[in-house]
Amino acid sequence: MTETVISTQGLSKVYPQVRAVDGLDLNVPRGAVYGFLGRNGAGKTTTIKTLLGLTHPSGGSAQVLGFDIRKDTIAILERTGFVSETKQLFDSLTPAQLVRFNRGYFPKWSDALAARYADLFEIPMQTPFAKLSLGNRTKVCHLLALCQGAELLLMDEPTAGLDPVMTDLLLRVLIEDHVNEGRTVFISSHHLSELEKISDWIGIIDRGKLLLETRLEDIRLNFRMVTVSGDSVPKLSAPNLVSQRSSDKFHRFLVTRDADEFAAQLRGQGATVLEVSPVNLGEVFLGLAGKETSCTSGNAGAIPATV
Amino acid sequence: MYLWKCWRDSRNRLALYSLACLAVGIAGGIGALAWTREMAYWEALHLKWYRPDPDPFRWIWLVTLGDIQDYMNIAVVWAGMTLGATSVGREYSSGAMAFLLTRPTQRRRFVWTDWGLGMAEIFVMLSMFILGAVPFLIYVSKSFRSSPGVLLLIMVVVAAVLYSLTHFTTIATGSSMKGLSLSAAVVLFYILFPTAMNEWWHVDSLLKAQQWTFQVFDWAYGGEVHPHWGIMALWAAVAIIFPTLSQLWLERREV
Repeated sequence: MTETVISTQGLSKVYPQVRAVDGLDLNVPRGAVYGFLGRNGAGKTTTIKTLLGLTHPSGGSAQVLGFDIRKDTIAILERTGFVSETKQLFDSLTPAQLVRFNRGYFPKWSDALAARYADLFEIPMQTPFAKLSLGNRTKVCHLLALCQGAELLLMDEPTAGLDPVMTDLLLRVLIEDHVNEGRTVFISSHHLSELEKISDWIGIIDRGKLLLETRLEDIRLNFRMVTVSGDSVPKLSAPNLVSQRSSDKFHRFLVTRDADEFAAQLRGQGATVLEVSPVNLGEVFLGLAGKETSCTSGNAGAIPATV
Repeated sequence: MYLWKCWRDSRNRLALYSLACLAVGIAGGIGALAWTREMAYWEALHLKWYRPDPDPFRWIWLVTLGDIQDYMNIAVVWAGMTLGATSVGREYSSGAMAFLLTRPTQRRRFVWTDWGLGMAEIFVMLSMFILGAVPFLIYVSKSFRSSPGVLLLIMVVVAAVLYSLTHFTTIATGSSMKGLSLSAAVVLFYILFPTAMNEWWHVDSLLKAQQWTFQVFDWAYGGEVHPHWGIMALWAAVAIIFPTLSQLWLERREV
C-alpha cells in the first residue's frame, strides 16, 4: 500500500498549439482531500485526463494508486471514481438505468449506497438523463462515482450546477463517507471557499506548471502577507518569497515562512513595514496565479519538502 | 453492460426496420403467389416458351428472390450506413465518451460489442425479407427450392462492408454525421473513380477489378444458384478489417 496515491514526475502534455501540462510534479498523500486549483486553461482537466488514460502524456511519468498511467489504466480505473468536467452521461438512459449500467463494471459497487444517495440528493431516478437539469446531472455523476467503492475520487469541478444546500451536502458526504473511510479525494475547482472548507492539501497550477503544493494548514500557520510602503520596490530574492504586488506606494509580499525575518530584510533596505498578516487561500491563489508580478522561481515543488 | 446499453438504444429501431423488411418480403411472396396463379391460367405456356424448363417453380423462386433482392439492396445501404453511424463513435459527439472510456474495461470490447450487435441486427433485418417471402414460395411450389440462404448471406456480407466502413469512419471522425458523409464519399469514390479512370484516362484495370468484385451480386444465372464464394470471402475480409481499424483507432484516440 503506497502512501502517495497520485505521484507525477515531470509529467507533460503538449498539444500542437499549447503546452497544457508542463513538467508537473504532484504528490497526493493517501487519505487527503487535495484541492487542485488553477485558472481556466491552467492544465487541471488535462492533468486529470492524463492520470485516467483519456489523454496520453507527452513526457514524464505518473503513478496512480501505485499503478503506472501508461500501462495500468484499467487497474487505475477499477479503483478510481471520476466526475468529469462536462457531467455528460448517456442521454438515453435514466439515472436508475445508469446505475444498472455502471454496477456491472465495479465489483465493489454498493446498491445500498446508491439508494441512499438517490434519496439524499433528491435525484429523479426515472427521468432520462437528457431531460435532467445541470444540477441533477451533476448529482447523478456523483452518485455513480461515490457508489463504486473507489479508493480515489477524481472530481473535476464537482459542484458545478449545484445549489449551496446541495454543495454543502455533497462536501459533507465526501468527508463523512469517504475521507473518513481512508479514501482520497482529488478536487479540481475554481471555488476557493469550498476547497478551503474541506481540503487539507492544496496544489496550484498555472500554464501547466505547479506553482505551489502544500498543506492548507501550512498556509494558515506560516504563509504571511508583508505590506510595506515606499517609493521604490525593494529588491529581494528569497526562497520563501512567492509573489509580490505593487500599487502606488504600497508593496505586498507573499512569503511561505519566516515572515518576520523577511520583514526585517525589507526594513534593512529602508522600507517601512506596515503589516505582517495571515493570508487565506484566495490571497495565495491570487498572489500566485493572479496577473501581477510573481516570484515563483524555485518555489514550485520546493515547498512540500519544507512542510 | 455496454451490450445492454446498445441493445436498449437500438431495439426500437430494429423492430421498426424488421417490420418494414418483413412487409416487403410478404409483398414479394404475395407477388409470387399472384404470378403463379396467372401462370396456371395460361397453363404455364409463357414460362415454357420463355424458358423450356421442366421445373417452372425453380424460376418462380429465383425471379421472386431476385425482385426481393432489389429491395434488399436498398435495405443493405440504409441499414449498413445508419447502424454504422450510430456506433460507439457517436459517444464523442454526445459528450459521453469520457464517461464510457473511464469504465474499467478494454476499449476494444466497446468496439466489438457494438459492432457485433449491429451485425446481428442487420442479419435479423435482412432475414425478414426471406422470412416474409419464403412461406409463399413454399406454398406455391410445394417444396423448398433455390437457396434463399445464399441470397441472405450475400446481402449480409455486402451490408457488413458498408456497416463496418461507416462504423470506422464514425469513430475516426467522432461524429455520426461526419462519419456517414465520409463513408458515403468512400462508397461513391469506389463506384465512380474506376469509371472516371476508364473514361478520361483509358485505364480500365480498376474498372475490371471493380466489376469483378460486383459479381458477388450475380448469384443466380441460367436458372441455377452460383454464388461467387471467393468474392464473398474477399468482401467479408474487408468487412472485418474496418472494426479492427476501429479498435486500433479507439485504443489510441484521446478524449
